Amino acid sequence: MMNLASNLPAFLAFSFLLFSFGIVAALSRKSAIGVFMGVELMLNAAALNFVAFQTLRRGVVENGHWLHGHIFSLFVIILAAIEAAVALAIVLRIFGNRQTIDMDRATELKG
Amino acid sequence: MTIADIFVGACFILGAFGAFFTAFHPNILYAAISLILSLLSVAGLYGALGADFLAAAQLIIYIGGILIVILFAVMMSEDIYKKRFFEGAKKYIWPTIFSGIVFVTLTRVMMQVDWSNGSTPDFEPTSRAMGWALVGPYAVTFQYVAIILLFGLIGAVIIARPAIKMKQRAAEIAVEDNTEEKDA
Amino acid sequence: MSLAEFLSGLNTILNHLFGTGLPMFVFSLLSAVIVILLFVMPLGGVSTYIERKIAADFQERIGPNRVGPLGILQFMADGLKMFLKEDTMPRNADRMVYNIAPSFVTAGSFGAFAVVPFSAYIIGADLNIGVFFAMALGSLVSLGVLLGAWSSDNKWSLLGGMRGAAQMVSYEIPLGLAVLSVVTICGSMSMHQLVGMQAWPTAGGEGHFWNVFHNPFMFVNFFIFFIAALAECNRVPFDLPEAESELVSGFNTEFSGMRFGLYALSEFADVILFACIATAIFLGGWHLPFFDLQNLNLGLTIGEMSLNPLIQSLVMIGVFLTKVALLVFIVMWLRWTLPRLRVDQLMNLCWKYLIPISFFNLIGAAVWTWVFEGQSLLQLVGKVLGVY
Repeated sequence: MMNLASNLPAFLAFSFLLFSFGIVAALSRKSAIGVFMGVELMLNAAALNFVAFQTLRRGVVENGHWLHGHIFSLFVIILAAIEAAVALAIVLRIFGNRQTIDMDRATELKG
Repeated sequence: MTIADIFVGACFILGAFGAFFTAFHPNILYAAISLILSLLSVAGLYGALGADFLAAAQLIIYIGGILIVILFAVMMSEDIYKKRFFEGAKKYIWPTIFSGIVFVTLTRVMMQVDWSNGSTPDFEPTSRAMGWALVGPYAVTFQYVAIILLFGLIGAVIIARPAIKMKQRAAEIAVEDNTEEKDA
Repeated sequence: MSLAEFLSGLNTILNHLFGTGLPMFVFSLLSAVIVILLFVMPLGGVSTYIERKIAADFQERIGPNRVGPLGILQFMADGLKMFLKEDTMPRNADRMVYNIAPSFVTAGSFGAFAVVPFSAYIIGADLNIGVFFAMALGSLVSLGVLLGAWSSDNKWSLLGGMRGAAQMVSYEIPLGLAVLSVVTICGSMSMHQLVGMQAWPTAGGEGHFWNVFHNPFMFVNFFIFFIAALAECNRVPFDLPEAESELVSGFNTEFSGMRFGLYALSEFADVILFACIATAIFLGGWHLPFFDLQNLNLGLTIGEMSLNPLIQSLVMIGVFLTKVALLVFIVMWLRWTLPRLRVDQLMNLCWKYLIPISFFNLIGAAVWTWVFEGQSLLQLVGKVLGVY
C-alpha cells in the first residue's frame, strides 16, 4: 500500500476524489465561473483516470500498441481549452444582459 | 518508499487540498488559485506516470491558458468581496451529500476489482509515439477536434460581441440617411 | 577518470549516505535550490549592473562606478538594500495573493534553466521534452504578473497586469511556432539533440551548421523568436505592463523590497533564459564553425586522468556564453533605442503579422525538410561545389 507510484487503486481513488469535489463545485457555486471551475476539475479527474490506466495496465513502451489513454487525455485537454473560451463568452453575455453572474437569479426558464 | 512514492503522495495531498478549496471557499479568487494548485498537482502526476509530453501540455494549456481566462473572468465578478466562510452554507448540503454518495459508490466498485497484477512499468519518451498516433489511428479525430476548435472560436466571438439595441441602430441609420441626402 | 565517471562516483557516495527514500528527496530538493540560488541569482544580479553600465554608455555618461572596482559590486549593494527594506503591503491588498505572486514568476524563470545546454556534458536535465518544458515554465510567468497586479489593490497596476498577461499569452504562440519549426527539422525536442545537430558539416557528418542559416524560413523564424521573446520578458519595445512613464511602474508598483527584487531578477533571468534558448536552438549552441569541439584533444593529463572533458567543457561554455552575451547586449541595446509600442499596436503585431508569418515559415520548413531530405543550405551548396 505504501508503494504509491505504481498503485492503480490510489490513482483511481484520487481521481474519484477530484471528481466528487468537482460535482460539489459545479452544483453549489453561486457564480457562473465557479460552476465552470467545477467542470474543469471533473474533466481533469477523468483525464487522469485514462492516463493512470494506460501507464499502469498497458505500459508506455511502444511495442506495437498505441498510447490510447495519453491521446484521449490530450484531446480532453484541448477540448477543455475551447470550452473555456465559449464559457467565458457566455459569462460575458450574461453579465452584459443582467449585470450579474449569480446563477441563483438565472431562473427565467423555471416553471 | 522511494522518491517517486513521496512525490506522488505529495501531489495527492496538494491536489485534494486544492480541490477542497475550489469547491468550498466562498472567495472565488481563492477558489481559482486553489484550482491552480490542483492542476499543478495533476501535471505532476502525469509526469510521475511517464506521460512527459502530457505534463508539459497540461502546464501550457491549462495553467498558462485556461486559468488566465478564468482569472480574467473572476476579476469582473462580484464574489471576491465576501469573505466569511459559512455564508451560503445551506446551498452546499444536498450537493455534498450527492457527491459523497457518488464517491462512496465509485470507491466500493473499485475495491471489488482484483488489482493484483500490477508492477512498476518501464518508462520511455512518449512524444514520438503520440505524434505517430495523431497521424495514424487518430487522424480523423484530430481533424474533428480542429474543426470543433474553429467552430468554438467563431461561436465565442459572436456570443461575446456587445449587443446593439434596435432603437440605437435605427437612430444610426437615420443619421446616415440624413448625411447622404445632404451630400447628394 | 572522465567527468561522467566522477559524477557517477559522486552519485554512489550520495546514495550510500542518504539512501533512496525521504532523506534523498530532501537532499536533492535542497541541492537544486542551492544550485539555483548560487547560479541564477548572481547571473540576474550581474546583469542588472551590466544593464546600468550599457545604458550609461548609450546615454554618454558613466553609470555606477563607486562600489568596488568599476562599480562591479553595485548589484550586491542593491541586493543588500532590498533585503533590508521595510516589508510594506497596501492596507486593502489581498494578503495571501500578494505574498505568493512573485514566487510564480520566479519559479517559471528559474526552473527553466534546468534544460539549458551549457556544454555537451553540462546540462541540468536532458529531458526529451527539453524546449517544451522551458516553454511550459515560461507560461507560469504570466500567471504571476496577473495575480500580482490584482493583489496590489491599485487600478493602474491592474491595468498593467491585465495588459501584461494578455501580451504574454498572445506572444507565446509565435514563440512556440518558431521553436516548432526547429523541432520539425531536428526531429527531437531534446536540447542535447537540437544543439548536437548544428555541428559544422564534415564529409559524411550529421552537422547542419547553425539552424539560423539552415533555410530561409528558419532565418525569418529566428527574428520572430527574438521579437516574441522580447514580448515575453516585458522588455522594450513591449514593456507597456511596466511602463515607467505611463503606469508609474505597472504591475509591480506596490511591491517593494525583496518582492520587487524577485520580479526584477526574474525579468532579467527570463531575458537570459530566452537568449540561452535562442542560442541553443538557432545559433549553434556551443558549436564553433570549422572546429569539432567534442573531439578536441590537447593531450593534457594530470597523472593518468585526462583533462580533455574539462577543457572541452570550458571551451564550450565560453562559446555558449559569448553568444548569449551578444544576444543580451542586443536586448539591452534595443531598450535605449526603440520607443514603446501601444497596446493595440502590440496586439496587432502579434495576431495579424507574427502569427501568419510564423505559420507560413513552419509550413515552409516542413516542406523544405521533405523536399531536400532535411539538408541545410550549406550542405546543399557543398554538394553542388563537390566539397561535401
